[in-house]
Amino acid sequence: MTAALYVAHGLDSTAEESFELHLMECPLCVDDVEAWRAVQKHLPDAADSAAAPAAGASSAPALAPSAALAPAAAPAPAATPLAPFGRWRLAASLIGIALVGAAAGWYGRTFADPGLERTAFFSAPALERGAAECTALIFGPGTRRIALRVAGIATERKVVARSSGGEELASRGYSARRQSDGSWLVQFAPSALANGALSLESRAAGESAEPLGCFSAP
Amino acid sequence: MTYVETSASEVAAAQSRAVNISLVAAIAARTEMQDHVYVKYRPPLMVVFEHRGINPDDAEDLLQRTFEQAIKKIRSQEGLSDPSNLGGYLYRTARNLASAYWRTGRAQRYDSDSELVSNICDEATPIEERLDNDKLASCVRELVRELRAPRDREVLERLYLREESRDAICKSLNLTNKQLAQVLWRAHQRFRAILSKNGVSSEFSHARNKRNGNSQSWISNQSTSDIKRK
Repeated sequence: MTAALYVAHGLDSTAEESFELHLMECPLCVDDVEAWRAVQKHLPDAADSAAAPAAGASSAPALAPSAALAPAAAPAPAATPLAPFGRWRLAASLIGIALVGAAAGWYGRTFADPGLERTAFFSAPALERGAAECTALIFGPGTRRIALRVAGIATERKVVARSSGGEELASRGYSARRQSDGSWLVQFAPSALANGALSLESRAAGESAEPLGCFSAP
Repeated sequence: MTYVETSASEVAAAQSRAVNISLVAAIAARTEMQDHVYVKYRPPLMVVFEHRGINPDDAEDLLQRTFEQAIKKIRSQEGLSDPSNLGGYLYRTARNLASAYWRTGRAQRYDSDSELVSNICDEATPIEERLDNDKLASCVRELVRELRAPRDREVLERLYLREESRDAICKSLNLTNKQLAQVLWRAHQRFRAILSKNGVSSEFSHARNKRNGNSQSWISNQSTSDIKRK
């Protein structure tokens, strides 16, 4: 199960490091990871319609993709969308870098490949955060996931998201986790921006919150 | 006399450590055996890079830098503090390079040091590179069809398409961790069987190990002065 969770980015940082160290000396586990990656990459979206949980039964609805899903049997590569991280991994190699919110010090990337446009990846430099104006995230209508990378967060702090009304978003509405390189990856569905801007801040016990920026739909 | 129970994994780990000592010695002595370092460690290091969202081309560059740093370290006067832990050193080097990669915000194209690395062979490629993409996609679709229990399909979908946490999945489906592990294990076994049925090696490692014997020269055995910089 470790390999499966590793591919799904479901291990905490300690377990992840231990597993990666183990991988160095275990070809069988490397094979397991590769097999699960193949499943992740090619998992057909038909599984959504066949196995979608009932509304309200789980955390899924809040993060459910808004775009219509392609049938599983469709042979064209674009009809077999990649899992979010698979898309992001591939997307990092593609062209189509767009600058947005430069005044606030944020920049984002969107991707030219049609098969990748359902995930929009944005990276936020540590400098110049906290500007008064919200940054509009530019993403296509088919985008089903937004991934924000936030670097420069102190290790004792954690990242949380707030709605435009100032309330902290429910955990099922977004995910925020520290990555191995120390940065944070915040993910949410575009629908999280439907009712207004979304703000990020870092928190630590006994310390005041530090604003990390505010984001809105285009 | 003391009886010590040793598991198979412990034996394998001990063997791996012994091999590493030989490999480090081979790199230091510039013998042909040093090539096996690349064959042995390329797959796990590529996994590490890919896990951090680094695209394959840049990962290859980082891979070269990882090996070069290790070679330089081994051939330096101080050498590796623990040659048996060569994998650990490579891992930490790779992890640091990956962190630096993202800190810079963009990949800086790396010019390989031809004094240390040449004729890199691609014998140990991950499954995605070894298999036809359409065939692999077909195998995954077959896996989904064969998962008769809707719950099993749902677990995969929520884990990989929606990236829900293990705890969230277990909670909403009333699964224990053990039950979740069983679901994943069943899917894994079925996927292996499907790959095998479709003419794909059911044991990737066997293919990899077989290729190890055919690897071409990776680390140059030539002296620095013999190599022309490109």
